[in-house]
Amino acid sequence: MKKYIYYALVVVLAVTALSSCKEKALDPDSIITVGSKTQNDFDKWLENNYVNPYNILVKYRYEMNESDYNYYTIPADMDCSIILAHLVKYLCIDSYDEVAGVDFTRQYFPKMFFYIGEWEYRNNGTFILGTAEGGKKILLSGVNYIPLVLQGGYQGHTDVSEALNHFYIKTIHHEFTHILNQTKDFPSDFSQVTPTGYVTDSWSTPEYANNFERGFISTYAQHSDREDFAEMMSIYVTNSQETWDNWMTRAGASASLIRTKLDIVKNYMLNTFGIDLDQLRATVLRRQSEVVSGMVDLTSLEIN
Amino acid sequence: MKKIFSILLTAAVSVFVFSSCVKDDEEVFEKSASVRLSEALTTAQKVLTGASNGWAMYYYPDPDQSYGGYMYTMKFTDTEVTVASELFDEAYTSLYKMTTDNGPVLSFDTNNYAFHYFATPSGSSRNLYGESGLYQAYKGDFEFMILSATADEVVLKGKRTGNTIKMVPLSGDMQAYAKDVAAMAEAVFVSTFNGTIGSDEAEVYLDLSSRWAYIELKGEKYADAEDGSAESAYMFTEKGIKLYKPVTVGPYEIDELVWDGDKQSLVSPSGSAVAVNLVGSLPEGWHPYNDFLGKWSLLCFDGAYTHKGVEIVEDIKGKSYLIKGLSDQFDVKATYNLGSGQISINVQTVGNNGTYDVLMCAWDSNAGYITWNTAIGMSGKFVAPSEGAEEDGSTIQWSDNGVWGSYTVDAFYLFFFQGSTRISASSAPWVFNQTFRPKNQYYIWGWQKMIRE
Repeated sequence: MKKYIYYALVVVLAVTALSSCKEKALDPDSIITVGSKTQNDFDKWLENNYVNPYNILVKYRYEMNESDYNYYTIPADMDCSIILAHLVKYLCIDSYDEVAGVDFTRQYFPKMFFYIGEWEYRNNGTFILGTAEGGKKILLSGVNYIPLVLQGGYQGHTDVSEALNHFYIKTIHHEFTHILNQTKDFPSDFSQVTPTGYVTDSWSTPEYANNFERGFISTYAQHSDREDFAEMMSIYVTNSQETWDNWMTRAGASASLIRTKLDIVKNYMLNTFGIDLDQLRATVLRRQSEVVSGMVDLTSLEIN
Repeated sequence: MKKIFSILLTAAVSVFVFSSCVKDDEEVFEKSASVRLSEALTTAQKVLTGASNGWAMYYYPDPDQSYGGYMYTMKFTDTEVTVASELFDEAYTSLYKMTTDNGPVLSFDTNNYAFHYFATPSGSSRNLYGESGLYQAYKGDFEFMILSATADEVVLKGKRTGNTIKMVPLSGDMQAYAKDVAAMAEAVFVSTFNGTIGSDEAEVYLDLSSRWAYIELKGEKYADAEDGSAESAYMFTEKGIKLYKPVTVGPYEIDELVWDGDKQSLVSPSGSAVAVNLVGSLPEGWHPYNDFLGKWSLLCFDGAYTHKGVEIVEDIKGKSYLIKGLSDQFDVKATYNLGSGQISINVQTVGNNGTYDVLMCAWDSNAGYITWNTAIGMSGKFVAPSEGAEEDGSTIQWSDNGVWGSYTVDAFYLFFFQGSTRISASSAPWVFNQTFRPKNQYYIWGWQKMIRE
């Protein structure tokens, strides 16, 4: 008997529980508000040259959430950001458009750039030029040095196109290669060419300063196969055949290792993405020399 | 068993019953958090743009305020901010935004050469301010939480430092005010003050380089008292100095002191509850920055003691010098200590030859020891010519700076370094000029004094 009473009680209570609440009408206003922003001329230029054609966002204004609090850094200067946005567009985006078609650029080119004014300095004297995250975001640092770099001689880099590549543009090609690799991994043969040469974080020590003789195109390429691949690709497309040949001479017997790796990179780009690396290089170099000779207006915010 | 089960079930269901319909769900605030946040930002921005002459900002970098405070003045439009400061002659304009990433936040989000100075780091090569080796900069903030904003005062909190940064509206021109403060910072060159605070004898020491004030009450009753002394970062205003926050020393609260240039003294501001009168005295041998500039003969040992020409020129005005003529390849950096009124040369990196860093190390040539600790070096005291002397004869008398313990710096030695590893003595062109040391140009020894040319 007691048992039934209990069950009955439970049922009654349950009914009460489920029926007792009236639904309250929802507040017609969202609790989330969106701030309004006024666009300046640069914002409009970016919308016209980055957002509309490629859906790429350039964050030239500092945002805490995009930055890395492990470093002390500063916002980018707006005038310098304008120049850099023109450079990235002319040297990278337009190059890929020209060689691989606009659809390729739209599909693979990173969707967000974040600019900061200074380099990200480590306490060991080295500094970070750029980073890529998740195939979507590229951080470019040292933006405030653009005028000095273009002037020539910054940190001993007298050749302006070499300096532009060293500090900014090579970084973009390098990080973009990572993004392509994340989309479609590179063949494992690549890692087997110099399998014992990778030294991770020791790459910057004096012991590994002879990168060419060790079969690597740069000191950083000795970090790992992934970095090696990105270095091969980005350094190849931003340097002339003459420079490359000089390096091969320096590499001596190890030149064949670098050549083997280059062939794998070329095949990967051609077979996976239909890009002829030599054609890409010709395009990049042509555009580079146009920038250095002053044929490209890097500050105009006119919208065509 | 079943009974227990039933009881538990009943209990569980009852919990639902009695808790499901709490009727007192009235909101604490009338509007949602998001609406209130955006209203706070709108109000704050109105306050910021509303000050017709702009604002004075009492800015302190570094979580421990180790560098003291600096005055910024600024004026806001809807999108831009123009910043002047006591450090730079010009005013600079950049963008700012009001954002919500950490409560209501004011962010100086594009570079402003004046405002971002304390946040700008540097590596081994010089940054745009000519500084190097500061990979964490001065830990200065450029993003601030807005704690309160009224037309009379805006209180901010630095996002990384947590420092309280106050802003007050200006009554006159913002650039003129910044210049007044800069002039005050230059005018106060005395660091030791003696006199009275209230009815007690007191001594105040200002560390003029790091902008810290040390206040001590004298007299027996404060001898063992914990509250007999206080210290605080300070900054300059147009009237004198202002502490980071008011400090309590003995029964007195000190916040601001007014500089009296004629008497070289610090006094309490008018209307202050505590009467302060402190008279400054210079340390013996103190000389102003400019006295060290110019052409000098360095007396050093190159087989026999001889005089060789060098020139001391301005590097950062009031702070550092470059000594030219020691080498064709590089200048040697020297610093000016405002407190002691002396010049100093420490161990330093003078350049990089493409492979190695070139360090000018300190050498005790008698003991035969070398150090590359950058705190070690020599300091130079300006000695005015004695009256009636025949020649001009001003000299800088150099001696060990006392940091190296039992060793005494009397020479400088150039070495190639790779990271922190010493490779070898330097070689041409990374050497001193032949005149200083005809044979082994990688060192200068018997460094004694400089005589005005």
